[in-house]
Amino acid sequence: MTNSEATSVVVTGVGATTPAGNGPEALWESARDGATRITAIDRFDASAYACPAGGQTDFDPLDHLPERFVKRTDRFTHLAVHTAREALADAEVRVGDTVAADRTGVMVGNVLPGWEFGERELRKLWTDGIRAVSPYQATAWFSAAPQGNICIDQGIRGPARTFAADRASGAYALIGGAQALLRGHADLVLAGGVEAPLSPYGWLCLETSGLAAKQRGALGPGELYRPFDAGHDGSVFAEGAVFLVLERREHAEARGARILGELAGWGVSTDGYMPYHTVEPTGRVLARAMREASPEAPDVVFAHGSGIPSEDVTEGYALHEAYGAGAGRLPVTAPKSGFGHLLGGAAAADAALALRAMPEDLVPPTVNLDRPVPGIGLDLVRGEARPAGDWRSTLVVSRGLGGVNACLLLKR
Amino acid sequence: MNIREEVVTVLRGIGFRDDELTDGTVLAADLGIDSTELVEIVVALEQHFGIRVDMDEEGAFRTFGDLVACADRLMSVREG
Repeated sequence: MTNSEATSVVVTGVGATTPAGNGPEALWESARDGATRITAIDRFDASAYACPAGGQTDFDPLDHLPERFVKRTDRFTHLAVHTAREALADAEVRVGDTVAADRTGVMVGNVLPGWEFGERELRKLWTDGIRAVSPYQATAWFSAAPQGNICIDQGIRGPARTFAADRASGAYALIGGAQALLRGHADLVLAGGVEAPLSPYGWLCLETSGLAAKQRGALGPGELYRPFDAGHDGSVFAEGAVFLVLERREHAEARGARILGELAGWGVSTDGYMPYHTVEPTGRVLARAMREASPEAPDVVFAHGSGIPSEDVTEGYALHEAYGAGAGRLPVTAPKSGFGHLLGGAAAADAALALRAMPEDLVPPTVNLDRPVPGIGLDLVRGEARPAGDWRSTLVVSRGLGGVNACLLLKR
Repeated sequence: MNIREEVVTVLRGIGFRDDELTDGTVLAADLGIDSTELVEIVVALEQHFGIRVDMDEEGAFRTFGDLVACADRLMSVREG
């Protein structure tokens, strides 16, 4: 749907803890410069994995959170609680003061739950028995743990949900946040996503799902993730959290908030397709979600750009299906190849980058895009950031296994 | 063996500070300990002292002093 009725949803704050560093500005500078933050994994022994590289975030939870809290929760909760605090601070919001606790909501996208904690405790279960397992296993591991702990940390009492729609989870969370605001269920929503996939089992799941790029040839760790490149082979994943503060425009204006831009539209669809991959091969179903989010061609596209060949190609087809002859002239980029695919946090990262990039009029480049794959016919932004002219709107595309498609339209 | 000091050591390992742990410290109100964290503490005490705490039989631990008293009693039973 498009958000052009009586009211609109605006973004008033951003928190981002990513391999690019702490804060949204670090993420922006990294994307703008086309830097690579992907390195060989040192968090665990990944030498036997097809993809031994990842986006690791330099974040020590004990610098920000009490030791007892850190012990009873997983890294994905640490990242989420910290980043939620940063987003609220960026928006100059204090829950219970700036906005009523029961009118504040939380929407979180996540793919892999707390496997770092979960794996350690399962190992104890199978080696030392049930008494050796932390009583926090269940509450630390489950996917709604970040959502619950953000609410506890901030005293939030309004609607709260966790969305599990593979790599489109974060886009669904942003849509859920906007809908909660437009339906009058909340006055302010913290929406985004978090992922901490750097555990031996979590990483294996990404590999066996066929999503991860493989170590190949002479490519270094930072060169494996190659969206829309002739050598594309899948994603390199990363840990991190990104949250946006969403409000109805009147609410934001009434409290004198700084408005970063508008979440102006969204659309979802599901491919429902087999065999091979769950991606519908013509791109028509994804195109429907794109058009629903942005009936007119957007000025710039932040593609999902997973680097999985079938997804890259169908994403190109979908843009042509959605926007016809003009699609080939739209600047298209996938900056996530520089800092890694944040899974549940990916769509919020793209939305945050789009909002930051538009006023600068600099489209960040797709890192590692040396030789565009033939046959897609897109104007891919590569090499270095470039202006888009009168850049008012950005389509963010997000897709997941099971053929989940979720698109967002951001406007300045 | 000073049981009290050892209980402090065990709780320090869970993330408490020494100065929080006086006999009258109320576990729930003063330290924010919920039922799940109490399980963590009791299991850690069991492992440290080699005892078995029946939480139903012991009833509710209210203060830090209750934990010390329980460990003390079970240790003396064990050592006969």
